[in-house]
This record gives sequence, C-alpha cells and structure tokens, in this order.
Amino acid sequence: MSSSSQFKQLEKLGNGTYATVYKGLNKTTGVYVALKEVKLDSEEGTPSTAIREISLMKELKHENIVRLYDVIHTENKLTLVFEFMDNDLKKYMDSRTVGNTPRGLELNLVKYFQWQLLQGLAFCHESKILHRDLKPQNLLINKKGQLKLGDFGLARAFGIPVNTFSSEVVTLWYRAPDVLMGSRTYSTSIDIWSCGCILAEMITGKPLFPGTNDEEQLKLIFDIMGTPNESLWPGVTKLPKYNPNIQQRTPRDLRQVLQPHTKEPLDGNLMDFLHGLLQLNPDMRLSAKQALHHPWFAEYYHHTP
Amino acid sequence: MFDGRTVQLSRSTLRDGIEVLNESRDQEIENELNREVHKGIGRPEKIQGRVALGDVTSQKANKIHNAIQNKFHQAKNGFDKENIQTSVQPKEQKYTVDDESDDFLIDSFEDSDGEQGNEYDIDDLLTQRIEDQQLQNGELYEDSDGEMQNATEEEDYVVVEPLSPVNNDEIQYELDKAFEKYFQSVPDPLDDDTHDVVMVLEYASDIFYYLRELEVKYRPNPYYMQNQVEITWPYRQTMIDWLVQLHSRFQLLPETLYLTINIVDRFLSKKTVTLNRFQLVGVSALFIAAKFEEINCPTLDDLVYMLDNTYNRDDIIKAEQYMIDTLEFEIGWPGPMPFLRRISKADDYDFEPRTLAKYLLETTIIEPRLVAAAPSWLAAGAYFLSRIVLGSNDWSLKHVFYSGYTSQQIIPLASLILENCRSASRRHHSIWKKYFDQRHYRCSQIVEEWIVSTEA
Repeated sequence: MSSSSQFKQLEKLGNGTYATVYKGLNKTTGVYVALKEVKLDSEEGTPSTAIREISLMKELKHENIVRLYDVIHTENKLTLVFEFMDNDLKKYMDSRTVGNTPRGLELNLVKYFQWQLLQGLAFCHESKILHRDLKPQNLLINKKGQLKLGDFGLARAFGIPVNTFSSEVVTLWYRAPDVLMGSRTYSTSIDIWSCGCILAEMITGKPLFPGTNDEEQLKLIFDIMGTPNESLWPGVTKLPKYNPNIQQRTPRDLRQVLQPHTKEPLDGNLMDFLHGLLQLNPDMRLSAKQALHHPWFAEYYHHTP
Repeated sequence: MFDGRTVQLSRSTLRDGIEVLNESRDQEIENELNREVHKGIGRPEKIQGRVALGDVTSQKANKIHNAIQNKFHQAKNGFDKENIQTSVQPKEQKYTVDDESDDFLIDSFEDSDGEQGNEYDIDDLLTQRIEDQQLQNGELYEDSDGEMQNATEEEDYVVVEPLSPVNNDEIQYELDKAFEKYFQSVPDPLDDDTHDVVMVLEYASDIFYYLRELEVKYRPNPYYMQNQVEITWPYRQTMIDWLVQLHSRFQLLPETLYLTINIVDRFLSKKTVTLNRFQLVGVSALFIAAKFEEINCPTLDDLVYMLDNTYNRDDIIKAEQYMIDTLEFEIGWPGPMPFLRRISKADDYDFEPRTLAKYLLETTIIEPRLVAAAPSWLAAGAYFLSRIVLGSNDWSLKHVFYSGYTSQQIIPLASLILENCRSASRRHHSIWKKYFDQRHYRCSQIVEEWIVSTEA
C-alpha cells in the first residue's frame, strides 16, 4: 500500500458519483495518476459503492478497463489511485461542438471506440460483473485513441441465475426500457442497451434519448423504437411499471433519425449492429461477445489473433 | 412432500467412501501442506504435532470436544441479544494498518504499539458467564477442575485436519469423460436456459471457470486456529450460530451469510483476535458482506441495537475499516450458491433435491474441517447427500459435469455432513431450527427422520 505523501495532488478533474477526482503525480516515478477521493465521514462506515468498486476493480485487469493501481486508506478518507487518462468521451465530444451544433465523430473512430468498449465490457461480463453505469462520462480516452471503462461505483457481481437487483441504476438517458419499467431481474443486457445509446451518440454528437424523467424517457424510446407488445416482447405487460395506456407507436427507421446529423453515409452493417444493441426486449439484445463478432467489426476480428 | 425413503445401499456407499478417504487422505494432506508452505501463508511448525483423523475422533478428544460444545450451547444465550455481555464496554482504540503483510499471521488485532495490552484481558465476561452457568447447572467439567482454561489447553493439542477432495487418474478420467460428453461451446437452442436472460448462458462456462479460480484465491488458511491465542473452534461455532440468527432476523440473502463466514475466516487467517473482540469481528464481517451483496443493507443503528450496545457505532466502523484493509478489499468470493444452482441443472432444476441441499450446505459453515473447503465442492457434497436422502443413489456423468466432482471425491464430504446432522439440534442449533420451519420446508426434520429410519 502506498502512502498519500507519495503523490502530489494537482487540479480537480471532476466529481464522480460518490467521490472527487484529482489529477496526481507520483513523486517517485514521475507518472501521472488519477486520485479518486472518497470521504469516510459517512454515517454508515465505508460506503458500499467503494467496497464494491475496489473489490471488483482489483479483479478486472484488462487493457480496456481503467487500472486501479492502489488504495490508500486513512482515518477519514479513502484514495483510489487509478491509471491517468487524458479525457473522457463526453468532454471530447463536447469539445467538437461548433457553436451550438454538436458534431459526431468520424465513423472510423466511432468503430474503434465501440470495439474497445465492447472488449472491456465482455471482459466484465465474463468476470460476472455488471457495470450498470455506462455513459460517455465514464468512458475514458487518451491521446493514443485508447478507450477504457471507468467508474465502477454502481457495478456489482452477479450470480447465475442473476439475483434481483435494484432498478435504481444507470443514468436515465442510458437506462434500458426493461429497467425503466421496473424489471429487477436484468442481466448483462442492461449494459448492452447503454452501449447502443453511446454508439448513436458518437455518430451524431448528441444523446439519442435525452429524457428528463422515467415516463418521458420511455416515451422518447418508444417514439423511435416503437411501443413493445406481448408478441414482440413476451412478458412486457407484466412488468411492474408497464403502462397499458401508453400511446402506440410504430418503429421509425433509425437510419433516417441519425443520418441528418452526420456527413458520412451510415451503411447497412452499422444499422443492423445498432439495432442488435437497441432491442427493446432484453432477451433479443446481442451479448458483448456476439457484438464483437458482428460483420460491422469484420476488419478488426480478421486481424485479431 | 419429501418422502424419506430408507436406502440401505447408499449407506454402505457412504461407508465405503470413508474407507476411501482414509486411504488417500495422507497423500492429500501432504499435498495440501506443500501448497500451504509454497504459498507461504503460514503452515506453522506444528505440522509434526498434527493428529490423524483417528485421533481427533478418538474417545478422549471426542469427550473433551463434546463437553466444550455442550457448555457452549448452554451458554449460547449469552450471545443472544437479551443476555449479551452488556457490562463490557470496549474502550476506544485505534487500529493501525500494518504494511508488512507477511507478518499478518502473528500480528494481533490490537494496537501495534501494544501500550494498552491490558485492555484485552482473557477473563472477559463471556468466559465468566460460561463458567457461572456451569456452576449453576451443577455440571462441572468432567476431566478437570472446572476451569475453562484447561479445556482450551486440551483443545490446543487437537489439530483439526482439513478435508478436501482427492484426485487421481481414475477421477481425472471420469471428469474428462463428463466434459467431453456434455460440454457445448455453442448454447443448445433446445435448452430453455439459452433463452433465459438471467442464466447468462453465453458466459456461464467462462464464469464458472473463473469462479473456480476465485474460490482458490480467497481460501482461508485451514490451520488458522493454531495461531489464535484465545479463540477456539467451539467459540467459532457459537459465534456462527449467533450470526445465523442475526442473518435471519435481517432477512438477508444466503450469499451474504456465506460471505460473512468467509470474511471472518480469512481475517482470522491473518490476525489474532481476542475473545472480547471476536463478536465485533463477526458483526463487522456481516456488515461488509451485506454491503457487497444486498440491495438494502442493515444500518449501523440496526446492528448496534442487535448487539445491545456491546459495541458502539465507532467500534464497528473502525473494525470494518481495519478488516477491509487486512483483506485488501478482496471481497468478491463466490460462495457455494451459484455452484449449487449449477449442479441442479443436471436434474432439470428439480426443486426438492436443491431445497434440501440448501439446508445440508448451510450446516457446513460450522464444521472446522471445512473452513477452507472449496464452495464448489461443498455444494456438490450437499447436493449429493440430498439426493441420497430423497432416494436417488446414482451420480450420473451429467452430475459429474455440472458439479465438477466425481462421487469418489464427494463421498467423504457427504459422510461428514451426514455425521454432523446426526446431532443437528445441538451442533448447529440455529440452522437446524431455521430449517425446521415450514418456510424452509422442514428440511432439517426430513433429514432427522431419514437418519432415524435408516438406523432403525
């Protein structure tokens, strides 16, 4: 275990779900790190988020997951020493906005980021860990174009079969429709929906379903993806928050929704891939492993040994 | 619902198993020890002094052991909320984290400066209470002058040898055969699980492979009790009994109970704990496990209330922090539940054997010889025995595949679980009581009746 004197605290990088993150310098090695500080004056001792994040991240060693180097536990704070990343995907996309017009990323870069996102996610799922808070802010990138999953504050381990979990997870815009309708038996597919939302956002530069509350969020999703019914999604009407009076919508063509916001043509492979991630019925969504074998990624997996 | 049919064949199978165990056990122990020494997690010099199984269960040792156990069960109420050691107020103290992880084994759960050593005197109220009760009940300890001290000293000579599965070419051949027959790299479209999202079938084999790694990684030192000064196996038994009650009072998940016990055992593998802090270790372990597993965790106030202010909030917060640091935040131990459900697939998730196995599985948390046993193996043993109680004597290749163990590997364990269930109401009272309830399908009663009917 390191001591806190080993690091020089530099500028604040942001506020996480339960902590403050600073840039830090390891004085002995000269290497930059990210220092995530968790206050321990909590009423309930060490926060469960910290216990989960640290114990789970210690297991996750993968090039597309931010590395946890060390933990410094002092009387009133807990400092997590992470690998330093230059930026996050949210800030990077914001920086490309011209005036008030958001601009998406080049499709080559979109594909490279999405590939890395799914590599990291597949590794989490193989290690029986759900991230449960995938969004551009939690995807860290660096100047080499690497993308890594960060902030495992809402993550948790799952058993088989998966136990019921809290439905109060995932930032609203990236939350799957089954979870929005109160399902508590979600599984790895919860993270896949978020991946779909992130993919669309990288293409256009703006969030696909920017709702302000649960109800509006579902409405925005159904406006584009269509309203689910028992034949498309058996069991949907039995979900706790299913609303039988919701206005019936037919699915719109996703390509027509997205194409106006990017100059590059969106090909059939990409649209098929995106549809695979954004299935309303969680059982129908691609898994991270399947997604990595989708033809849209052909150029990558043909080069992977 | 269960009919506890008598199965004579299975009984003799179990007995054969014990012989198998005795033959192969010494080699296994040597392997075990070598592994321990290799890992450097403290197989102490006491190797020479270890006592073979025959000696452990020899009359004398047995008598001592039983006598202690009896005393503890009489004093069990001493751990219940009403009677808890209210007059002992632990004093403020600071824990310091020791950087030298190699020395954890001999470190103590005390200030490293040791200046307040006198605060942890052996004669705490719990010990006192036990002796008082002995006297009140007029049941003096038979082999000695009634001093608890003597009992623990005697106990020290008895080294509890861990039980673990044997392995040999024949077993490996059977495991390989099961794998060849049942392993599918692509999910079977005719299998219901393939379409059930909670079974995460696509990842199942990767995940189980990984869980088998984790169960080894987060394994306690089976010999840790030798390094404890005040704590003995009977104390552990009493505390677990109390934790079982606490756990059911808060209606927590089975996973949380198993994780709690694992945290206690791994912590005790690294630190020496005084008797008056032992319960604090238990309650803090439950607190950590619940934070990891549960959606709604009991609050500190809930816990302090249940402890009847034996320890205060600050004690628990500090103990929690100290324990988490000692375990280096490694909390993700899988426990036996996923393995039990996995084996159940071999019988198409038949409800009865799995339900009965849950009781048998839970009884293993008390057993000193199973402290470091792999959860996958415990699940296999409980399920195997459960099927025998319910009248199925076969352990098919499919069972071998889904459990990862052959009957030869399981029989010694199943025998031990059965043996323990013969004195269930005394040995694991709270578990026995919990499973006597209709809510738990009277599992402990079914096992009891089955034992009576086979022995008649």
